[in-house]
Amino acid sequence: MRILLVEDEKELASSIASYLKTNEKIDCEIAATLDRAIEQCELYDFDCFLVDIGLPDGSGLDLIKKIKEKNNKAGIIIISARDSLDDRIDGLNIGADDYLVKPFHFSELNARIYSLIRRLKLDGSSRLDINEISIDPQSREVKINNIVLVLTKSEYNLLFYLITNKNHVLSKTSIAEHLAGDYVDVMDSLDFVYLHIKNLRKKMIKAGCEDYIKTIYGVGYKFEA
Amino acid sequence: MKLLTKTSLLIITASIFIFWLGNIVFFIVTREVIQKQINSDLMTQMSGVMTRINKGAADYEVINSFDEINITDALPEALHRPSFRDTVLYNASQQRYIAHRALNFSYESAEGAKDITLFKSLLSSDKLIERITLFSVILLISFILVILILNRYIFENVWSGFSESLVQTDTYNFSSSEKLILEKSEIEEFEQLNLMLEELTERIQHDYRNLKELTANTSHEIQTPLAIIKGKAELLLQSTNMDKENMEAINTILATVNRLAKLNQSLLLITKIENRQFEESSLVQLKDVLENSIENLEVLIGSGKYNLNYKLESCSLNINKNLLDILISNLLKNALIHSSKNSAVDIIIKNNKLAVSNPGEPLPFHEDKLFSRFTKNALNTSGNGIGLEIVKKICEFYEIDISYDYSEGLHFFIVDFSVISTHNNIL
Repeated sequence: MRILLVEDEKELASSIASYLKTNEKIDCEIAATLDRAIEQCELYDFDCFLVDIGLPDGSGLDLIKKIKEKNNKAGIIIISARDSLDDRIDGLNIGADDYLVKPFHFSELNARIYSLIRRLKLDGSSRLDINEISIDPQSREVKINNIVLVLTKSEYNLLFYLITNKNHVLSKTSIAEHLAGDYVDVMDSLDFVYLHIKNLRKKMIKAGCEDYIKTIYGVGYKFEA
Repeated sequence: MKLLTKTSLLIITASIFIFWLGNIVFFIVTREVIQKQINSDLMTQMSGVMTRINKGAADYEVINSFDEINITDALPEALHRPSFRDTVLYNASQQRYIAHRALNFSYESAEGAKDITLFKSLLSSDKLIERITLFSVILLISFILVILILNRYIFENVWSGFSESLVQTDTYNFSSSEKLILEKSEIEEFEQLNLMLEELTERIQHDYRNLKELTANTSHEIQTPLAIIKGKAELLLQSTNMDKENMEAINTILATVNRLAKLNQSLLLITKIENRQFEESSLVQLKDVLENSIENLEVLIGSGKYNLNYKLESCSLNINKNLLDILISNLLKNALIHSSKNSAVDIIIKNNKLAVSNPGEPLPFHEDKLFSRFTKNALNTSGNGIGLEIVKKICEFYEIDISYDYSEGLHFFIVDFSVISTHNNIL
């Protein structure tokens, strides 16, 4: 899968690229300017674009318009420091699929790319299989060894987040933010992440699943498979 | 007070005062003139009386039978100069006392010294003064009426340009890209005022645009470095050859950057609300927004620490949905953060009012500081101290009334949405 990352901040771009590259299926190219991005666009086909809006030689929105003219199948995620409603609406109106505000968790970006790619390429209908676990993202149904495992909404979200970021260490903060969104700072401790992980793990083991969720002490969790 | 009312009142007060003063002066002057006239009449009469006495034709008995003259014998040494005085005499025909002017003089005639007093009735002059006063009062009233009508007429003519400018300026929206163009006025001062207003609004609009850009730029400039720090830290987390201590350090960096980013976003949000950058509003069901928030909170509630009770009536509002989301989430967050463990937060919507209450200790600071920035409970470290300020700003933006109360161990926040409720408008 080819991704074009359009980001003028060198350090950030290389960090995102190296995070995404840990997934061997992803091939991430970087363009630092609007011109360079347009050039890349004309030379290659990409499955997904990560576009910063504020570029040194223009607006990322113009690039999105160009991409949409050429190939409207590719997924587009805007990554911008501008959390303004107008930008968000403008971006989504001209055809972007998602909008992430900087600074974001790489694991969150990873999860969004993952969902987007599945939605676009596979129409979101096909199941996601890892060993004995099988997930249908459309109906949010989880099967273990072909037996349905009943999960609460947040347990499902947690499992999906862990799986889309498998083999990555996820910090508790990032999990908490993914689960509780705006309300994450209500909890002074992140105990609820621990509680959710504990419940999920218990349910999965009881259903005969191997324990893939590893605790990284003091930091967070990792789905190893 | 309206300009017209104010000027009318001033005119009425001033005219009454001036007329009253004028009347007093007029009264004094008139009385003076009349008195002088009477005095000179009496003097003429005096010389007439003297001539008649000299002729020896005077019959004192007859003369004294008239009311208006009184002649008595006097001692030669009692001779004196003529003097005037005011007195009253009983008038038999009218059966009452009537004011008179009296001239007293003495005269040395062939028949000896005489003391003579001449009287003149003031009845007619009093009547004259009465008439004049009555007339001037009528004059005053009609004068005021005319002036008021005239004032209104002039006001409508002269100030119409001003009123139009006022309405135009009042309805002008700084966040729009249009310039304020006021109608031309033929009056120089108003034209000057219009020009000044146009210039001023243009400058404010310019500043507003600059500020908006600055906000966006600052946000960009601060968020990007934060994103880099966060990204690098997250990358480090993935490296396998890290020991526990280093991992924990990186985790702390991540959490701190997160807090900083949140703080920055909150401050930017306040600036945006103050800049009125949330103009569009739509019809939003308060109940839906709350239910959505409560659903999002379930993940926290599931952990057993919190308890939510709610009773929601439907209430549709004309508001920017994002702002309402932010308002609700900040109110709920505040209630959850500051409630005691395992206690219940109550949420009620009734009669366009939203009440959120949570049990907890009384405020450790003054109630007035509750909505100000960075006012925090020292015992509770979560929360960044901006949430309630954001709530307050949103309420101010829509002129919504928000009140706080503490009673029987419960903190109450009551938001009265009546101003923007559509239900209210229909009624």
